[in-house]
Amino acid sequence: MAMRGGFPAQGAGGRLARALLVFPVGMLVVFFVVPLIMMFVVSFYRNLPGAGWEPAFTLENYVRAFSRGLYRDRLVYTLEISALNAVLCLLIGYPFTYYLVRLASPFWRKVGLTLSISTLWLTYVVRSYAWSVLLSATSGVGQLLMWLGLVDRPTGYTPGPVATVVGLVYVFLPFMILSLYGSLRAIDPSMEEASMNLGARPWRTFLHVVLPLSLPGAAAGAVMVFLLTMGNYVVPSILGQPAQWTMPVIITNQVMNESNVPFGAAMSVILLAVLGLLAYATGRLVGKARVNPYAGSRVAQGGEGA
Amino acid sequence: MSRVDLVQVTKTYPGGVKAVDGVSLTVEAGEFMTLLGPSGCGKTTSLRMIAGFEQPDSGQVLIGGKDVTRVPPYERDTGMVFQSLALFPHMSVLDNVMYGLRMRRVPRPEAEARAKEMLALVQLAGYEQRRPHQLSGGQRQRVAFARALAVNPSIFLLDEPFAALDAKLRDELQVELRRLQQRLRITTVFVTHNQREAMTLSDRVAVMRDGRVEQVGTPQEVYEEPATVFVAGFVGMTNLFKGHVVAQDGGFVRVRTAEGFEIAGRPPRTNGAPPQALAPGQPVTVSVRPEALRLVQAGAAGAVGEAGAVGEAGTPTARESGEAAGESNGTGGIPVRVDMVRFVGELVEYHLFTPGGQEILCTYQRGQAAPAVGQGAQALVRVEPGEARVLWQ
Amino acid sequence: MSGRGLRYRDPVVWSVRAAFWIVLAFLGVPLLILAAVSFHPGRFMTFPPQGFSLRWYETLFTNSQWTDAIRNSLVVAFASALLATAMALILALVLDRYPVRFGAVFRQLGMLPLFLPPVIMGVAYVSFFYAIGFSGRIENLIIAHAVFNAPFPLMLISAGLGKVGKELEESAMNLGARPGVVLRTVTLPLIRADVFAGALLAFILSLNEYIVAFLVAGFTVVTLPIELFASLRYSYSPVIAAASVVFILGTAVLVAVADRMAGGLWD
Repeated sequence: MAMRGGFPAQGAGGRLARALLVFPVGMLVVFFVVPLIMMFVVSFYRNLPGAGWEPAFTLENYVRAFSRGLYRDRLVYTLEISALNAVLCLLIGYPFTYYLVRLASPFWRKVGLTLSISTLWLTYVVRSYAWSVLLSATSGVGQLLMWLGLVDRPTGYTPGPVATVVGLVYVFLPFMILSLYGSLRAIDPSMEEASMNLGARPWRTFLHVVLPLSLPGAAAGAVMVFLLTMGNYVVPSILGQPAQWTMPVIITNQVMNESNVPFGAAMSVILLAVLGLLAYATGRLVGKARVNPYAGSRVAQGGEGA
Repeated sequence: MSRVDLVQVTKTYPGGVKAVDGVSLTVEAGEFMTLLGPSGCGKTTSLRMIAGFEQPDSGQVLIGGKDVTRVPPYERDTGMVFQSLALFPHMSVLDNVMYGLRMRRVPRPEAEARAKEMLALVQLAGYEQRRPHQLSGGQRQRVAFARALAVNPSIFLLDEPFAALDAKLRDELQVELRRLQQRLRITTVFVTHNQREAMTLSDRVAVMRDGRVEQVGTPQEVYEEPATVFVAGFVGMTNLFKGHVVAQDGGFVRVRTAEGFEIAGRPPRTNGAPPQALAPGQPVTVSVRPEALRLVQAGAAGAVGEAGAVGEAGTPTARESGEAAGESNGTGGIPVRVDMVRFVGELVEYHLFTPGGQEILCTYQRGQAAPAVGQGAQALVRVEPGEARVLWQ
Repeated sequence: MSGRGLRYRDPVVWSVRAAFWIVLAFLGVPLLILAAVSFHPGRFMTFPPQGFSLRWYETLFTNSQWTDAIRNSLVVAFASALLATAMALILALVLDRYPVRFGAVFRQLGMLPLFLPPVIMGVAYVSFFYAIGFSGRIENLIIAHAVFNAPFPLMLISAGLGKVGKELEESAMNLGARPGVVLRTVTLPLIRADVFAGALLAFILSLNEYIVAFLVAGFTVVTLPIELFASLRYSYSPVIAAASVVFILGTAVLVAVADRMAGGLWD
């Protein structure tokens, strides 16, 4: 943003204003930049079981992360389930959002959007918990299937792979809808009419006009969901068995249960590097479409993405 | 009421763009001065320097003879109307108008009385408690005038205040503004890119381009005696012919255009300097207003409205005789093809093309005897003697 | 597809329309079931509930385990929202109104927490607070949430300042107001709603945040999401459902208020 000429830069007022900056900038440096640096430093420290850590420079944490099959597998699994979730959210979210955007009444459009993204703000804990109730043997789906006579005795699906995937879709679908809504909303309906006026049938119109125009939003949404899933702890740890645990769960367990902060820090650095690389690569692929993965992580502001 | 002087002010923006480049300009006390020019010409920056929102890199700003170059805007005593009007949306009309008075620590009852007086002056008595968004466009405009003038500023500044209004309302408010200004006799600097607005409102106009002042003068001077090609083209419509000087004799300069026709015109303005002789062969541009051109039916014996000895012009071989005719009448005829005739209400426009493909515009006032030539017809165009002006290229 | 270009008999349109309602149900039903379960009188959750009882809501608001968690959550959310908004307001105002060297860098720094996965931020705070020997305090959590959530008020306040535009402030100065007075009489009154909306967002986000809170002070400062998560491990008591319902309602109300104030968060 261009500087504003309004307030005189010189003089006591300008000096005071700039002095005030020390507070927010200081907070950000001391409590954001320094902790991240500290994490990087600690990742080279040596863990003392039961007694914290001792400063050192050792690569053993990184060696452990890469040499043990368990951690490599977890990283690969995290990538896989994140990609799966991104694809599922896109497949489910696209027709839904397209229908929503084309609703004739602005009122119902607003209601539909509000309803479909209303869960966005709710803690992951409650949202995952809702599915663990729904997929349990005693409530929800288990009872329903027995009542329908499909099974003899109620079975639960949680924790397990089905519950994990359903939970992840449930939690991140609103981000996808929001991202798609912005780009689909921006397409003037008269463009579709123009296409049909020129003789294209609805399917061809969709294929040649709507789909290409909405591609950046779809790509941005998929990337956002992918990266958010990679960083999520709550869903796999509530709805998954150890086989569904992703990197954030492994990291948190190391830090909180094993008290092995250096190893947790090393894996965090690895995860951050992978995320950064992927964000950079997809950012280049998607091109001009703005990809703000964590802009949406805890909210998202329509179209702008952040 | 004080005068304003800009003395050699220059302002360069980061990135090296010179917004204002050595501008010197004096606005006399009580005068209505308009800064006119296309966007990016430096007119708004100049205005903002008078108001104190921009500081020149070099040069001085004087208000009432006092150097205010480094005085912050809130100590300058100017009253400004912004392009967006900038009425405070969270305050009533009365609070808006009282704002400046309150800032000058005028006691509330007094400020209120003064504000009401100003609102009455702009015919808005009774609207005190409204919010800006409850007013029409014209009413908002008047509140902005009242607010800027309530503090009785020494200078009144307006930055394209009418840009967002429709043509009819704009006309009404222009008349109102001029009336207000003459009644208060307040020194006024007005910024616009609309040359019509500049002509009808101002005592004097400063035409700006690329951060420089091209010409300062009364609207009539600027229109009739443009100093540069740019001014001729920007203020009103004109036809420009590039060419070179053939000879200078008496009051007129004879110019041969690129297409080989000859036009005689008055020499360039000297801006007070001693007249400079134009050497033969000197490249120049001739400006002829559309209403100064007269259209003659090709082959007809005389011009409509004025008889002339140009009947035989119109063929390439006739150029010699055209030159001869130019000695007395200012020009021979230029052969043209009529491309389009447009009826614009108070005038009729003829869009013409020379054999070389230059477009020429010629207009006749309603009631003037317009020639009966239709689309596709061949015709001759003549310049009214003394109406062409030769300009430095 | 429904509004413009009416093609109701098209099977594609039919299936898209059906899919729309299925997705809406998919999003809404889990929360409705949660609400239903919370009224079940028995000690273990079942659906459909057998009977109606508010006993689990009573437990939620009387059992000290839950009331402590609610209190902690509210304290952390309130204090961190206040801190985040103060940071954001100063940052947005000064960077927007004064030329500051490295201003763009500072603004990006303020937005950066948005782009980091919360788990990683949590580990960073563990490393940092442990290294300076200041672990497990509620202050740590307040600071962590403030820094982590500051981008939201920063976005809203910057957008608000953008809407105010510079001409209003210039016109106040032209009328004789000094910068401090301009701030008090023009700028702040006009961005008040954005400031409140930003604070509210920071409050909601802190209230709902789990993993950073767990890593920074999970064993000493138990917030509501942490208590919920922990209860899931040990029991399947409907009190968890009751707590969730309170959460859902509280969040919905606050989001609606913030949405109103900011004049539409999504647009």
